[in-house]
Amino acid sequence: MMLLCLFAWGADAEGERLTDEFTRYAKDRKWTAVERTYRRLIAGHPDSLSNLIHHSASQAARQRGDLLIAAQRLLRCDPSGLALDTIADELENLRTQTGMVMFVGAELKPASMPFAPDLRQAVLQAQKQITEQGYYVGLLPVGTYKLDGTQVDIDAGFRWHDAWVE
Amino acid sequence: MLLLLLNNALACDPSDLVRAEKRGEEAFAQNDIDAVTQASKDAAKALRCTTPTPEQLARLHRLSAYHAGLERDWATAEESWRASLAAHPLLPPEKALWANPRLHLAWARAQETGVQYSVSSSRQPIAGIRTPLIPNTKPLKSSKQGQKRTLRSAGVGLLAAAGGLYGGAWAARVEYDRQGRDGEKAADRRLMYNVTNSLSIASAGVATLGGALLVVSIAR
Repeated sequence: MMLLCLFAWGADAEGERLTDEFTRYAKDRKWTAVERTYRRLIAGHPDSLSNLIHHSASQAARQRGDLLIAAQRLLRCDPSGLALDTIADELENLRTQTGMVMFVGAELKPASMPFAPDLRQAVLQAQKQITEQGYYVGLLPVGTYKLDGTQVDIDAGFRWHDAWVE
Repeated sequence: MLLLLLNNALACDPSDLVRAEKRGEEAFAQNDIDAVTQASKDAAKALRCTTPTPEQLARLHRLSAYHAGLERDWATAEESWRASLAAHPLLPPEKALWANPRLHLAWARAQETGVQYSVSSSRQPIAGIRTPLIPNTKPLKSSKQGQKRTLRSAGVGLLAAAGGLYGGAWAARVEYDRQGRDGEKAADRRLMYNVTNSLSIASAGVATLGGALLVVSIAR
């Protein structure tokens, strides 16, 4: 029993340590470290996860251009927790600036590159994945693209494009 | 008439799916595992008469995740969450999910793992989405497809049986003719006469039923 208590205390202490580290990394905008620490928290210390942590992890995902996981991390935030207005604003921002796509092809070209760094990074990531894997599923900035020479218009919203849905 | 009867026997209401999903979600909020089980079964049954939208399919898999969560089967819960994410990766969560932190965690882990796809050569509509991408998540048993397959198999089986019966009738007729050539009495040939007619009528009946099942399986 005592051993179990010690183990539980040790696990919590590790969660606290990781949370402190995470907060420091987020403050210093060290997004790769934020990403790595968040994954460790998810894997082993879920009780330490708060809305602020999900929010910072969402920002880390945006920095590397993964807008889908950024939105998913925002959706994880507790509706009775902190910073709800900020979280709702960011989700709305993603909803109005991006569209959900399911592209299969070999080459993706936007009509014009977005100005915002995270949106630009999202396009670059999608292009890289399409070239390497032949498909991309995720969120992309609204606008006109050419997929293997065919024009595709991406509308805003967290729903699949009408052309793909029966 | 036969087609109408068959079609009515297999009929269901497309809105059954939406109703069953809503019932299941309400049952989850009350931790009522039996009601979630029943709603999952009803929703799966309703698939036979409707092609679900991505949102409906995602909710259906989410219902499986709820069920697994209430049974504390976290591996199945995570697998169901991933299937739900493949259908719709940004389905808004329900508040009741935060009352079950372990299930919430399974959802988060499924999102972090993500869904991998393989590219098929054809563009098949999967759960209402036309795409050559096949997610590596657990497939949903479509009772609509299963029912069509069963009907088609039964139809083909009955047509084959009708062929067999007709073959029997033909053999009986050959025997009847042979008895005539051999000069047997009409009373002695009566048996073969009856067998020929019975098998012919039976083969026509069975062929009609088999054909009807085939038509229904194609039309549904």
